[in-house]
Amino acid sequence: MKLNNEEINRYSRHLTLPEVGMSGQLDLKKSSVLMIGAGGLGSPLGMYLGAVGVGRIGLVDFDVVDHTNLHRQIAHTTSDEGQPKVESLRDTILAGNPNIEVEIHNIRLERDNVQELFVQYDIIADGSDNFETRYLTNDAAYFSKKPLVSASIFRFQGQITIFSPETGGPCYRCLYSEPPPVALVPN
Amino acid sequence: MLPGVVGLIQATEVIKLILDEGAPLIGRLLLYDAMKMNFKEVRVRKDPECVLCGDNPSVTELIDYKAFCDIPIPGAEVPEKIDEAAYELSPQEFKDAMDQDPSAVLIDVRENYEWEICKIDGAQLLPLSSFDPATSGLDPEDSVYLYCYKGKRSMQALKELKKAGFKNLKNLSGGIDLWAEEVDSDMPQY
Amino acid sequence: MGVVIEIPSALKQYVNDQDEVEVSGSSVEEVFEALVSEYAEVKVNLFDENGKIRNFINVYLNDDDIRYANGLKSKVQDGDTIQIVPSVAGGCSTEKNI
Repeated sequence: MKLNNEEINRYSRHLTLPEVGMSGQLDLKKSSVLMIGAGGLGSPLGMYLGAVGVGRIGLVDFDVVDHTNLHRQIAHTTSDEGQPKVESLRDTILAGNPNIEVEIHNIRLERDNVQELFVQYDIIADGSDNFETRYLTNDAAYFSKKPLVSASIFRFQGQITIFSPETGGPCYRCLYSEPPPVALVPN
Repeated sequence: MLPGVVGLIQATEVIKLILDEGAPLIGRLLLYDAMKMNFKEVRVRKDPECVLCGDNPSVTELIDYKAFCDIPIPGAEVPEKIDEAAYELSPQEFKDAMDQDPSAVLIDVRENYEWEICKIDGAQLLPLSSFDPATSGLDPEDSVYLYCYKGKRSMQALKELKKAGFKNLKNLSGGIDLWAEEVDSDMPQY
Repeated sequence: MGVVIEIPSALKQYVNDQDEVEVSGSSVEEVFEALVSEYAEVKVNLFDENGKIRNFINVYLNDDDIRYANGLKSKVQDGDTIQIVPSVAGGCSTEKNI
């Protein structure tokens, strides 16, 4: 795999960083990331992963862009209202960097579709908005031995960590063995 | 603004994993507080008793996550089952019934910040978070018309009032959100 | 000077909207007893019916999980910080409206 001249120019400030360089940039180009959620977290996550040149990005979300999303889900603009979020985010990412591939999965992540998706990607990034999806994602990432970069927010507080049991790290269940009872759920 | 900051940290960690550079956020939970504007870090350990990745796992394949996440509060009172449909009125029915009912009292059980966005004329605010029929000032003889944003919280309040002996209770089906669509087109939706 | 308990936003409403509460005690258990005696409502959100910390809440004493020390019996001293961290699932920063 090589970079073309446009890519070399585009990523030149990366290529001159010793921590990235040509080999790092090619690692990015060869890599694939599956993002769960194309909303508040998924917008900046996808836009940056695309801009830096992650070669293949998968997007999972089944929601459509609503007017009330626009003030924080910055990949979606007023004209995207009513469109599937995965399509709107894909278009924004590709507008920023047409050299990469963005694959959209306009589905709800379920027990019977999660594993076939996870095996296609190197890294899973969870920005979902409910506990069911978070435990499903954790377990499926564990069974498919993929690192899970997890972020969640509530009001003005955020939590970020990487679950990587295959390298000796904890998983989501090590951190929180159970979700809150329904009545206590801070959505 | 918050999701922007958190999503970018998430992106940074993904990129570091791909490049195999730096100290990844493994075994550490980063806590960000936008109001205090601080970051804290706490340690996360692998739990040897973890049912998934521990020494004797009991979760060896994907499970029913809906059932797993449907945890009731032990010991909590189970809300009384009532025929909810019998109390529901569409926005237009709700308005007509109130207009014809001289003893109608209109109660909004949303929170104060929602009340500040919009409200139905003549309503009185009694937020569900502190709702108590005994101290509500309401009379069990009143006809109480309840609403919230979508109609679920007001149904909870309705059940509490019913338990407290109120007989004439009505719930605005679809809440103030549907009211804005069907009765008052000047009202903002949020 | 006592022990500072940092309150997460999900529980702030039960402690007069404060983001931290300073109490005294010589163990995590005593510190929490002092907290719930002052703010009774927070109790059901922190403890289950057996008096155990709920499974979706982690308690960190000076940045390490008390599960890996002596749990609620872990000793504390003035100047220590206890952080309560509940599991949150949001992907956007608003509450779901019902």
